[in-house]
Amino acid sequence: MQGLFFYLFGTVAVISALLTITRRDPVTSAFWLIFCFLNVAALFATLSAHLIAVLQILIYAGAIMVFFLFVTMFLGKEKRSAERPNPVVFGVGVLTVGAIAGGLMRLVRSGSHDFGEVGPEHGTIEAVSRLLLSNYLFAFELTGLLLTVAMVGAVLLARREAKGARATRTPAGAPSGPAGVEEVADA
Amino acid sequence: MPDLQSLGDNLQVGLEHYLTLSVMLFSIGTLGVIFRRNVLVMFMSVELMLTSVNISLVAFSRYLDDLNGHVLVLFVLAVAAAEAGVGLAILVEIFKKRDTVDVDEFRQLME
Amino acid sequence: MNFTWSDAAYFGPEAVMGLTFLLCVLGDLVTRGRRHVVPFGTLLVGTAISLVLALLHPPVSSHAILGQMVVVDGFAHFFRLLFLGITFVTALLSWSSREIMGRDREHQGEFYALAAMLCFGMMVMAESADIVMLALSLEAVSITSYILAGFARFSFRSSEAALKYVLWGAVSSAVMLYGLSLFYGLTGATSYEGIRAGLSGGQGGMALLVAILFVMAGIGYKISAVPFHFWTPDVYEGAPAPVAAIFASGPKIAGFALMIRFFYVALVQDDSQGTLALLDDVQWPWVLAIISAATMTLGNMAAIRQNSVRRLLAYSSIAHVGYMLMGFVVLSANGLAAVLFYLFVYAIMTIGAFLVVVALNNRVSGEEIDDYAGLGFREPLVAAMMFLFLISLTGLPPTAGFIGKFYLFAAAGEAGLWWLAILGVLNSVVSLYYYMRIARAMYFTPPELSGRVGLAQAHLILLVVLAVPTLVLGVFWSPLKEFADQSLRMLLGGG
Repeated sequence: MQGLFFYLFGTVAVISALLTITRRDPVTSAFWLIFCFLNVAALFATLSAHLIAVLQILIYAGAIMVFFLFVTMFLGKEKRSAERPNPVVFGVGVLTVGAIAGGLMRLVRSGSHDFGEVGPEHGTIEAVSRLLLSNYLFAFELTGLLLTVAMVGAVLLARREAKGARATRTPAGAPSGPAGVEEVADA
Repeated sequence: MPDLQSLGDNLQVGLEHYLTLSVMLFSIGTLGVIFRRNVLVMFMSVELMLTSVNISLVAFSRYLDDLNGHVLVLFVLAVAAAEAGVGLAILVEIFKKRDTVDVDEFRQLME
Repeated sequence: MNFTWSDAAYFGPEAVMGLTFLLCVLGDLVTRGRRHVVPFGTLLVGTAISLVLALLHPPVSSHAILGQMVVVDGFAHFFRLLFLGITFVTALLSWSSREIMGRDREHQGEFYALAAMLCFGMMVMAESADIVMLALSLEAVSITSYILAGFARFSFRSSEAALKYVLWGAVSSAVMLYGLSLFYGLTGATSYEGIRAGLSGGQGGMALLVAILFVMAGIGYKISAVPFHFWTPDVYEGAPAPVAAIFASGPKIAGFALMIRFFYVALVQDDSQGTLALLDDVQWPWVLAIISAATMTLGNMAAIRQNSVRRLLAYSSIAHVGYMLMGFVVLSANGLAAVLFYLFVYAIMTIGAFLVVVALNNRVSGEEIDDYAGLGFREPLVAAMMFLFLISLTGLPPTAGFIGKFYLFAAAGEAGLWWLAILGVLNSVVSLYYYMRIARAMYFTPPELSGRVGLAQAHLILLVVLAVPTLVLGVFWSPLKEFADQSLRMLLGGG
């Protein structure tokens, strides 16, 4: 059944990704992106990456995208002028991306690599966490510091006009959303 | 549903299928970054690129039967969260300043 | 796995800087941001302790610690000392800067916390031995840099530069992560050693090339190599001058350290003659030689047209990246030693030049070259120091910059890349023109105002402190050269 699910979720993911970058309204884009992420989470499940699938929904589709939507709403409806890319930039961009994609595709298509069998442990929360908190413990701690500095920075940057009237409307706390989760885990 | 079952069994997918999908999402993300002038959508395109990284990491992980790739994905998630946090904070700040600053200059970035 | 307390002894300086970051944040919170001397003092004390720890225990052999995530060796030691020095100097330099002080002295403490974090991240960058650490340390430095770039309050430019920086930085790091995922897929390993072992079979081909190019894009953005340099002038101009001084030295140097370790441990294989050779299927020297040539030429050409001193220095820093890449193209120990030597010298002279900008920025209204008119009469000491730094940046004797460039060009020539060395010399001649525009303004243009400018005492002392090594290393360079050679021995020796 893996094949069927792959084509189902994969197609939907690609279509919603295309819709993400083509919609005029950022809010619509954000919703398509969330939909895309949900499909990607399903794809992770087909690869027996259980923990990653859950985190994809919780952190990506959940925390990060809610944050995106929050900021989009906060910024409000801007008058959106037409997207008119410079034709030269357009041409060069399409060529570059095409070349990269073509190269990568050729690479990918160079052989057939079927998945083998993996044990029931593969991708479970327990197995990944054990690795994360043993081998990668230092990297994990560094991630904690990384998110702390991001939090400090987001508060610093967004709280600028604390004395002004707008202070109460700034989403100073919002960036700490995903960061906060990680910090609790870190502690 | 016997038909669906047999159809699913016939559709064999391997590493290259997932990598193809990953390349497609990566290219879509890159195109979005290049062609959109809306900073929010550009950030969303970056998230698409990072997701494509995750897909290829998980697919490689499954192929190699090795969980290190999954741990890498976790770190990519953390990086994405941190970047989004800082990037959007800067964006919000620019928006707040717009009242006092030349709008034309602003438009260059934020059409 | 394998976490022992003995690891702590090797990781002491980094641990202290990480702790300093947290203490700075805490100190700022406890004092409610009113006593900015608390985080400032914390940073200085932390950096000093870290420096003492590093000097007391120089690594005598290569140690892979913390679950093989980082390697502490002579190479790491070299950069550790350099980064701690940079942090110390830039902290002192920021203390008297008007831009960092701000008008109401709010949010001051965060600056020092961010400086500590930046130093921590840079040290880990130079020590990374695993692609996980590569990505995370690079990201830690990048995110800290984004915040610093947007640090100037009330400045629209600063925010705009920061936005540009963070947006394209996020793109480049996504591209780099894709490249790293390909490395993982090709070899099934995340450690540099594992990647080297996995690639030694000679497979890879096209995929390897794509992976290398993608990783290069990520690092190239950090060190602002062409074609990923476009953000540099805007960010240096938009960010507060002390932050520009940090950017021009710290993260750029850390990017070089990361690049050198990654390429030489993960990708370069020893061949039978004891020299170094990259994997067969990548035309490595050509790719890098072209990037190097393009970077220095474009950087210099753009610098000629600048009227703002800060933009001029930004473009000249791009050109210097081109010179340094020249030593990296050459796959030899000499080339790398030349890069290390030049990085050290470059840090001193570029911070020195930016320090003049910082010091004058407090008093002089603008940063155009014309605003420096008559400085030689009004502030003879500062003008003389600036002249010295400019001479050194150009690469004229008897300064450290001359020796550094000599080693770089010699290494390129030795490897048969004469055209690159000659191009480097030609570029230096071009750079003489625009550096001397500043000197001409300082000495041959009559000042609009008379009397002294009146600069902060701390800045004058720091200027002298930076000028002394610029001059001394131009005459007695062998100790530094030996230190650079020695630092590389562990990296190039047993890997």
